[in-house]
Amino acid sequence: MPKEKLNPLPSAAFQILLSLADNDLHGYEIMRRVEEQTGGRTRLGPGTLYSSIRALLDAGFIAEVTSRSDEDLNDERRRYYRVTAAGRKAAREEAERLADMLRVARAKKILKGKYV
Amino acid sequence: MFENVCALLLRLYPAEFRRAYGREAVQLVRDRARHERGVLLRIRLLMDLAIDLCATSLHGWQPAKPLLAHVDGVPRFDIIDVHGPRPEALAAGMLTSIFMFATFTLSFQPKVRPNAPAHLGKASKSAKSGAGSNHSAQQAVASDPEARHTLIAAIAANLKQLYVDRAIGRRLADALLAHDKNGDYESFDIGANLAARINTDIQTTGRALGIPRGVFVADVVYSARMLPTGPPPPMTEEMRERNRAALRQQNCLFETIETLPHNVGYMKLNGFAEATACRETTGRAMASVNNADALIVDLRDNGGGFGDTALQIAGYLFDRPTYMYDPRPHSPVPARTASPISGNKLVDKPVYVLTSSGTQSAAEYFVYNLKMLQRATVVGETTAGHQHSGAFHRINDHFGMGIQEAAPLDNPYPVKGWEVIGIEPDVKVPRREALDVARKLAESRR
Repeated sequence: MPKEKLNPLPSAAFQILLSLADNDLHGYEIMRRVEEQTGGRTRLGPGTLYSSIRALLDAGFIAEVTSRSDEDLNDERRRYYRVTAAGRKAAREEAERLADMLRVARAKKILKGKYV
Repeated sequence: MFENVCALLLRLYPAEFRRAYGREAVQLVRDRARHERGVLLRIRLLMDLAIDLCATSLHGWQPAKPLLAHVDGVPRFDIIDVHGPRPEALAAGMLTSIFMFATFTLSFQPKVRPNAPAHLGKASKSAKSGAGSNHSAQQAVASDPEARHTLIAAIAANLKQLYVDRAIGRRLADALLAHDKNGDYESFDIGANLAARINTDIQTTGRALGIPRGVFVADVVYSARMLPTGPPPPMTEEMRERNRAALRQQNCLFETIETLPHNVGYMKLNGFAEATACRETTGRAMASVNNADALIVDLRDNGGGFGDTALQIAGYLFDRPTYMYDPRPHSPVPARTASPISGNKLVDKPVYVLTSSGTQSAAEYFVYNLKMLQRATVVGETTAGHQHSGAFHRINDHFGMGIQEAAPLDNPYPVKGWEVIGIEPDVKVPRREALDVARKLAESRR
């Protein structure tokens, strides 16, 4: 799929990229990581999760990991995913875009605080 | 029955989706079902699946429809498409959900299991059966006296068998069992409050038996999530390298390194990263503040990490190898700093360390030693009081405990440690004021 379909980055896709920032994960691990990083507010169902994964794969933002050296993690039933440099860049840009919006919200006194 | 309902729902997904990711979807639902036990969690899983099915079916199996879409330039933080479902689709989805909810509720008979005995260092029966995460079962045992007695007995047995001084271990255990017999724990559900009360009793009894304040005895931990049954899988070299790369990408947890007005060096360090990956970064960080007239080390958000890196930084603050007390028996961290360091100009500069109630573990090791050596002024809040010097033992699915199993090294300082009591700052101010206060102190001493 063309990359422009992921601009701006959809929320689910952004969360998936964030979940993969530290480790290669399979689908269920991604779902759990997203649930954790959103404080339990977002539980990606299989349809949402795998449609986002397919879009990210098509855009070159993530890649399937074909081999794993850790036997405990090497489960043939599962596909593992890894964020690519392009995906990391896209996630960073989305984070910066959201941070900019937060700054505006603070400037408009919709949100208070100094941490952004 | 439950799996059949899930399988039925998955068969309702678009055929293209099932062809592409059907196997992964089944695996994902199986994984969730394995970890989400209990009526409420199972119902939630079914509802999630039903909603996801509706969303996927309504939108069709389309690759990456933008889920966060612009509406008049304003982003929505939804994960579902901005277009609302058709009324007839909503009605169909609602009817399906009601039918499934009713079917599941009527057919599912939750079994409240007898309370699993807490085996020392082993998974309980409930862990083996996977019922440890069963929320309803957990609630059922929350106020069960037998489960509580079993737990206390297991903690007491650990203290008797494992605490470094067997005589004291026996007396600690007897005191806990006496509290239990007196009904002192009756008002506590099995959870974090009970763990906190048990810890208080262990500390109080320990003090009465002559264990100095600040010395680690034992720490009972409650985890709402099921504790793992075995050791974590071994790290491969590839995993280690990825962790190192991630650390380097985060600048080895140095959040800020800058020179403030009046030539005051400031570094905010949010953890002590692994020295093998971060020794050079730490060296560069220290070099960048080498010409400062005073140094502020901000550890307010530092939850600990590797003592080697704390020792490396401390090395820049002394002109000779200096002993740093480490409460852990057989600690891998060298006992002395690598001072003096060639070209370093910080040895005679005033140092201020900022602390908060979240400063803990290796960060407390750093703060404690600099304070005992009178090398730094500690500004902020009393630290967390987590030495983390004992070995951890799993008691049951939700409880574990750390125990001092080996004798700590002799401590030359009058305050014998920081367990529970934390480290008192020299200048006690709320964390948000600590930096301003330290800056004023640093500027006044220039």
